[in-house]
Amino acid sequence: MEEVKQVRDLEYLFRPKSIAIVGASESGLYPAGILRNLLRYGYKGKIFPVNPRREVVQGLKSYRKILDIEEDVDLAVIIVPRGFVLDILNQCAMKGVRAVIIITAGFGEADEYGKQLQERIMEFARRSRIIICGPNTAGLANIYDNIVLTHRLDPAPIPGNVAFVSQSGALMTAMYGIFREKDIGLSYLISTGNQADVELSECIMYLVNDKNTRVIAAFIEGLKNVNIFLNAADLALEKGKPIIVLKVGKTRAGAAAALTHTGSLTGSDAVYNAVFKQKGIIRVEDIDELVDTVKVFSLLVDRLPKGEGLGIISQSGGLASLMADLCEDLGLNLPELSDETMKKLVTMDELLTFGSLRNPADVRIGGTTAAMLPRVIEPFIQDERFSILCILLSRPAVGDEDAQTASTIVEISKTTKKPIFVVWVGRRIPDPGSDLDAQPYRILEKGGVPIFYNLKSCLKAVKHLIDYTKFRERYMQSSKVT
Amino acid sequence: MKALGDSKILSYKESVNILSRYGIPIAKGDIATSPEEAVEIANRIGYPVVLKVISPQIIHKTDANVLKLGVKTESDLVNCYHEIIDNAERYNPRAQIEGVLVQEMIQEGVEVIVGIFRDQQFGPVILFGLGGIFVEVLKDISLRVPPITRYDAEEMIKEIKGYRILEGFRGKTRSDIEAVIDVLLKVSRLSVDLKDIVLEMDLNPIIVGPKDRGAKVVDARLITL
Repeated sequence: MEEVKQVRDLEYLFRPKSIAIVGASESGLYPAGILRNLLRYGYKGKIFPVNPRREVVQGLKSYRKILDIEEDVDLAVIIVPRGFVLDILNQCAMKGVRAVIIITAGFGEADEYGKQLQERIMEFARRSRIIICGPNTAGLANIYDNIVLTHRLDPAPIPGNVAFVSQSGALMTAMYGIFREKDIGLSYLISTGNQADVELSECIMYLVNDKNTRVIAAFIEGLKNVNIFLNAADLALEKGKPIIVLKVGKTRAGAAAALTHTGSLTGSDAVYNAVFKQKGIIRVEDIDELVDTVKVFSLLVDRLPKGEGLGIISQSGGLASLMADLCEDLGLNLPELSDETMKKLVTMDELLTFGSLRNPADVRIGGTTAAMLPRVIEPFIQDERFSILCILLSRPAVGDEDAQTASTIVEISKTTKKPIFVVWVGRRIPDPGSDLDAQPYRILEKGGVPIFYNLKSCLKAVKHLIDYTKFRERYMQSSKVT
Repeated sequence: MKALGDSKILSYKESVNILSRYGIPIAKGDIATSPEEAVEIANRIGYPVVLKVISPQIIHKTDANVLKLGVKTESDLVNCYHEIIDNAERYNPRAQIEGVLVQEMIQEGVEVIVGIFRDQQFGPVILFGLGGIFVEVLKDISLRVPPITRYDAEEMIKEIKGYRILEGFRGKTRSDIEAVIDVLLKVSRLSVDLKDIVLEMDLNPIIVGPKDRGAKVVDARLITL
């Protein structure tokens, strides 16, 4: 095993008070994009473009060299061809720069020369103690401090409680788009690149200690420093910050040389799985499940379900049956309605129950109108068998008619601590020219009610929520005993 | 991490020494290097006994025909002793033979395996499974990284598909699951303390008796760096 690296303070990387952009320019994905994003999103610190061929870049004075900057530089972002990177790093050391992001690609992931260069960067990091993110990173963003150090982040980010750290740069950008579309607020976005120095585990540790971050999502190819990762996972459990991972690479490790049964029985992905299970880390299998899981945790992390019982109120009988089947497959617990709940519901003539209801409860369109829904949901909220409630809708999620239902759900959700989520199966693209934010599905998204469109990934996400809650309770109890 | 080439397979006695130090229960028995010694040991622990040839080169004792169960008398024991030594020599003429283990015959129980192996990323990992075909064919195992808590140990046991066999089904009695938890926790302690020494370990099988009757290691193999 490798030696345990001490956890370093990454403040200069993530919250710099001054930033130099070496290679800043008027055009080019990163050379123009990073400076533009700092200006556009209102970074409060000092910005120093460095470009020997220009006097001014995007309206700011440009410096010939980083050493020409009179003031202190906390962070340097390097966007120059790979052959110049080491020279720039040496200048950064002379200047007293604390942290560096190397955007430039063509290192460990590329040819032999690139690998050699990366070795030298690693050597430089050890010697200089400068914190280095990258190379070959898509950059990072600290949303609360308006520090957007990547090429593209639009529309403007919404500050929130989710941090996403990725070993794939392209995926960081892609996931930003999806999170933004669903109004999932973010604290940090981090692309770790080739991890010549700063590694994913260190980033997770930083995020566990970050006050704005409540939910940590990660795209993992492999871990370098497992000790920091395990410590971060323990601390995250104690603080109640769920870690959700999408890990790729299920190949078996070479176990051929093993001398015991034990040694030959398993591959490395199985060990990852075991570690995730042991530390309450939520493993998801694809992008949809990642997004839905992040969403459910982001919105419900402070109102976790007190038990396992799921109550479903459905607008459609068909969807009710489909949900029941999926819940069964996933091991979700659908308790029967209590006699009292049943009595309250079957006496509501609008529901057309004809005397009997089950869970999922098919209350038809009559039971999900803005007028009826508060009355229908009340018995479910009172019924202790249910710890989490689902409203399952099948009418169009656009148009004026269901906007009131959506607003009503937002109101109901505010009046109870019991977590409520919505699954909406139906049309979602409104008529051309209509106000997007007035659409029912958007009312829910903006109202902070978890709304899902995919039954399976939604139910998987809810299962993760229930399992995590249970696991954490057990963990806290057992850590008290030992 | 050192290469496997530098590793060493501990003798039965060395292995038993380490396991006892951690309070891991082992079936009664001792190594004999002559038929006379074997008789003496059998008299001490009482018949019936189990005989098996102990050799670092012989992992699968059944394949090599060097295992005799339920040996009931002294004359049986002497005959079996010679037979399995011959079998061992035939199976692998270059096998170094530490001796013949004369062990108490445990009558009733479910076989489980507990082991340690080393993962490149996570270091020592603890493995649990039901013995025999359950691990070898079905790979029905659970893993955890030490140190483990009691809760982890419980979850490890419940996680395998064969858990129902330990719980007892169709009239079979429930196994002593508490005893398995105890072994797992002790193995966890061992693996943390000796993480720079122990490369791999097999406690295979451990025979788990019915509820409150304990679990005993019947065969052990430790590989050190």
